[in-house]
Amino acid sequence: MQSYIWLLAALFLPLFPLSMVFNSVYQRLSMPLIRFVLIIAWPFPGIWILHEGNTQAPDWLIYWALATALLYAFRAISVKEVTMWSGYLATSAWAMGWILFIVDDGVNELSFHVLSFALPLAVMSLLLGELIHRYESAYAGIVSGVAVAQPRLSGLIIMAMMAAIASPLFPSFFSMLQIITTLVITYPLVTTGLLLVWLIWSWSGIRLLQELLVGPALPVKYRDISRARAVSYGSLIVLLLLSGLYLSGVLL
Amino acid sequence: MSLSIGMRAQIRAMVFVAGEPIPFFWPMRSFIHHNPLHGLEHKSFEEAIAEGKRLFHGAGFLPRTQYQQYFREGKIKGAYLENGVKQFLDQQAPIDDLDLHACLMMLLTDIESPITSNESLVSVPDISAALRDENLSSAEDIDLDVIAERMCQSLYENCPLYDTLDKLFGTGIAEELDELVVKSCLDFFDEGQSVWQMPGREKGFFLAWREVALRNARLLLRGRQIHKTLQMADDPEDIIVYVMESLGIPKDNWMKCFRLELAKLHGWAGFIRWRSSNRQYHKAKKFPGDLVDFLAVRLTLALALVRERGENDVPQNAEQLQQFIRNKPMETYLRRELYDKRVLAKWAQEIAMALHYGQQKKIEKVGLAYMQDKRTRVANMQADLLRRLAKCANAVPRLESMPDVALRQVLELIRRFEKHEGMLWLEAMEATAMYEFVKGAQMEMLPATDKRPFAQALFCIDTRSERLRRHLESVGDYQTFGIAGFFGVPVSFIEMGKGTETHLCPVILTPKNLVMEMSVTDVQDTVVLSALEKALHDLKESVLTPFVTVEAIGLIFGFDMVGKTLAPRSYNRWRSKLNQTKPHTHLLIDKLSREQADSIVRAVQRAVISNAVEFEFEVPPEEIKDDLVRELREAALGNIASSPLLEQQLNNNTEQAQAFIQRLRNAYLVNKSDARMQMERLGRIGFSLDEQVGFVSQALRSIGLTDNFSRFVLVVGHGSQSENNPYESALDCGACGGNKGLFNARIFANMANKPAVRQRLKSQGIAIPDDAWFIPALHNTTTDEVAMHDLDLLPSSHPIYLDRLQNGLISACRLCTQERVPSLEFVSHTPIEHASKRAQRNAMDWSQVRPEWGLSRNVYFVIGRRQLTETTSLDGRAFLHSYDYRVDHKQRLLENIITGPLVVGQWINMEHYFSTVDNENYGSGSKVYHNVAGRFGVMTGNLSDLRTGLPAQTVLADGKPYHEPMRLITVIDAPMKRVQAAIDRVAIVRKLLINGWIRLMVIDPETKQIHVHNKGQWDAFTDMHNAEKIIDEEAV
Repeated sequence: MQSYIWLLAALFLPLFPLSMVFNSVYQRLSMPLIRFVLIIAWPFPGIWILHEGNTQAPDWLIYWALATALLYAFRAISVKEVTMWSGYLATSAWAMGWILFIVDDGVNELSFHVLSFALPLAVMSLLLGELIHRYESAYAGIVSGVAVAQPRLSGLIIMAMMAAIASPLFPSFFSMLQIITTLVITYPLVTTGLLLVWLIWSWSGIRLLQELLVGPALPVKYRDISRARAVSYGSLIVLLLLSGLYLSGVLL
Repeated sequence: MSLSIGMRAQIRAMVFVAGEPIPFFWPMRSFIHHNPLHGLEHKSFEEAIAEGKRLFHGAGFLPRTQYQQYFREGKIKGAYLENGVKQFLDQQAPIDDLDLHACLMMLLTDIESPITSNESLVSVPDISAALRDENLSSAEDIDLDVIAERMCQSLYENCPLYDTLDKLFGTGIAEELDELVVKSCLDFFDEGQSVWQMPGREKGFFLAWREVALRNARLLLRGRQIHKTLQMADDPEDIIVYVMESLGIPKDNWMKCFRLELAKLHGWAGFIRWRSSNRQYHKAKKFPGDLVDFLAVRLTLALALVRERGENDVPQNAEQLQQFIRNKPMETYLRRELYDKRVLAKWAQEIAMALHYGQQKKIEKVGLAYMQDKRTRVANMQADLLRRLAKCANAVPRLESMPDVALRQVLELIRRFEKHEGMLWLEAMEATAMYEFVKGAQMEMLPATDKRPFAQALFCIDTRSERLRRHLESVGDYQTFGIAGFFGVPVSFIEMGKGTETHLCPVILTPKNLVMEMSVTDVQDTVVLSALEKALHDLKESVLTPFVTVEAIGLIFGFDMVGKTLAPRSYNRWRSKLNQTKPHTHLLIDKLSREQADSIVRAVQRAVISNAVEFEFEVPPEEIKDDLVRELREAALGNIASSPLLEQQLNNNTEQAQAFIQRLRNAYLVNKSDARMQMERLGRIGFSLDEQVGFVSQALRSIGLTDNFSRFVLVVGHGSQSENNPYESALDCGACGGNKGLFNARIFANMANKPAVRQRLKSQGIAIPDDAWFIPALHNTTTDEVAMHDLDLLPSSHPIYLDRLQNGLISACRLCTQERVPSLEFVSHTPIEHASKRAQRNAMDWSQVRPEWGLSRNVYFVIGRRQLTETTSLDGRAFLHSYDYRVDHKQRLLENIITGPLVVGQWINMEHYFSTVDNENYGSGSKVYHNVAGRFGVMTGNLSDLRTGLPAQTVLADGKPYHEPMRLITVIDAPMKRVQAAIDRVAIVRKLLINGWIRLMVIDPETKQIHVHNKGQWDAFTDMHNAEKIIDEEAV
């Protein structure tokens, strides 16, 4: 496979520094629906390239991918804008796809892995759209006390966040479990690094949730999302949960 | 660094004065209701609220929306509101062509948020432009240097230096500092909760902390700075001066800074202040610590944190900070917007990025765009609200075409009005409450009847007694009286089985007399279960045992948990049978004669010597003869030089005998000075006959009960019952120092039943018939049950009537429960059976966060005849103190009532007021997150300031006020001249009244006039209350 093909693959299945392109595009978009589509669609050209290239990637890419995942996980701790955070989390999670690809050489598993993170983050982008529609921003700390003002929206954001940070029973959790069980014997150091990344995701996610949802509500009152919308978003999350249970049988 | 004595004294004096506005925090074992702004009572109510906001960041009034809700519910009459608006406008210059009265009424009743804002960027021309839908002038016209200069000047006004750093750099110093200080306080002030205690506590707070801080691993991580500071000085005063100089705070501002620092953790500061001022407090004597120590610890840590953050280009002292603000006004402005959370959410990320990269050009560009957006929004919002206001006065065109000068006038007027608005709502609410009271009061003085009631009952003035009194009076021939729940007998009490004294009187009194409780039954063996309980407790408290015993005995706790949770009533009833019941006891009420006291001291000394001989020489008790003990006692007291009998027993070992005698003096305290001290202490036990007569006479006279005594006179103290509730004491009797009132009732009844006392009383004109018997009782305010005590002392002629008395009490209790419980369940009616069960469950359920409402909704303090209020239900909202001015010949009784009970009532009222208007700052937040700290207070979560005030569950229902916050409306039923004279003589009450901390209404029974004290003058009630208008309003 020629080097520019590798570069293209690293652009769509982002590896640093090409990952900056995805994050730059993602942050510039303002319509939630386009964000939704982008976050699901972006990594697939990368997967397709890897599938078509049919070449063994060099081992050092494992470490490069891990470094990318760690870098974006650390960046996720420092941001307070939840949209930016979701972009960083996607980058961090997708970078791990390279590790799976190199070690397991399976494109199907790679698609599962990428989707298991992309789907909750896509749902999250819709929910953040609802939040931004009300507060003009999703900057945690400046927007606060959402749990009191919009309990339905808050509940859904929590669930989507749990799915995104690979909490148990969601597909991302089983995907992470699969990578770790695959690597633990052959690459113990990389496994440790991945566990660290996982830990940092949870830390950053919960920190954001705390600042966004807890605390004094803003004086301006906005309506919560309607029941019908809540049910629609809720159904997506339930679907994620069910697919996670299904994946637990397929992947493990 | 070492300061002169003068400088040290100056620092101490400054800290002392700085701490004055910090309210005392009493240990929660005996919760004392207090005014959180007690230290500001020398100011007017409104001024104190403003100062409280500056110091404690607490709101002094409810939000406008809540008052609007009260207005819609008729709890605030429009007539009073209009009256307030009119009075306000009378003091303002008129503005042509604008119906300001209508506008302000509209503002109060229809507009939810304040119109004026504190946004300094928005000027009158901006609002004027927004009113005309024109574009605002460019943000470039704003002079940022003026804003920066204003910030520099106000640097020390409202927050310490590190707070400003937090607001400009997001350094988070204040939060971390509080955390470190709280940990230090928890370590030092712990009263037995920790298994491992802090070492060296006897040296004092600062010195003990200093020793630990130099070795503290967490502090060592940033230890360079702590070490550096601590090495500069040894004493707390030196450290304080060093830190203030290092931070570059001008000396003129030190006092202000100290006050702000103390107010930051005002719960801890209040506890330390109380502790250091209470010389009797055992722990304070043992482990001394005061506000100077506290401040030194806090400032040391603050300096360390500031220096640590300073390594990241954050200014390290006031001078550097001022320089930064002056050099970079736009960056300062944006930083304050972002880190002080004032920023418009839309701009937060962009501003954060601009500040992160630090390019001044970018910052200027973002700043200007942001300022323009913010100004436009604020101006538009204000313009919209102004238009709404003007609409009701048909003055929209006038407003839109108004010149800037006139608009400025309007805005200034609204600003003044909104600043004063809280008082206006409050006064209207209080006036409505006064009107409701007068509407239900029975003003006519009915002639006294000669008929002897079946029973009379003396209840505490507590608001919870009102319901029970009303129902008791309704079920039979009962007459009730209200008196402060310590029944006028301030006493220090030692309960059987406890070694410490408890003051059973209002906290403003210091009791001179001591009463002890003694068992009158045989000595009992410790019940097996009690021993088991103690063993389990020890295992639980130990450091390591929980790890190993949890599997072994965890199940035992599991049973307890299941029982307490699923069936609290049945389980607790069963469990109480396993516990040892308290034996019958008598109280040592009479004074000991000198001979009796001497005999007791001798007996104790003999017992000590006997035990010492047995312990030290392993002599069996039967071999220790009286002669030997007597001789040893004489030798220890220095009356004889040696003890030949002991020497004989020790095979003529004189030295050993002398050493033992010396030990008796020093270690066993058998010596002359200790004997004298014991004699003095024994002298405190009991009351002389004169004292007993004085107390009983004063109590009976103060409530107007001087003749026509019934066969039964119940003396009813009160107390609450709840499980797992650190605030249990807050529900007990405030007049008994936050304890149950039973012992005071027993002491009073015991005195009043004594023939010698009655004989003396008779000579004073209080003839208590021989068949009248005072029975002590306890009113359980959680279940409403009244339990009579000391019935074994009842004369043989009385038991035959006891059944009727008990039935009457049970009926009253059930009716009371039925009335009270629906408010706990938020329903309008509860069947009587269900109500009783629910109340009993509340008393035993360990998961119940609101066993009762306590004194919530208190508003009136009535000093007068029962006739005045007996025909109306005051809904448990009134403190009722019986008083008949006709028996107050010397006019001292009224003075006593307003000096003691009224002041305590005001504390209770203010505690409830402030806990309601701002539960987070003046109250203690939700009970659900509370944890007991150091066995004397509670914290929210695992680390916070000591929570003062009342929990949300006591004053709020679903986040909305259940307690209706008003100042205590005192109603005195006496001739106006007498009341005025009494108030003039009691400085503390005069101060409260003039400064507006209480409201006063005098119902003059002789002239039938009602007078209301209003802002320093007396108004006639009829002038103040436009009855016709109010009646119309009620009809609507």
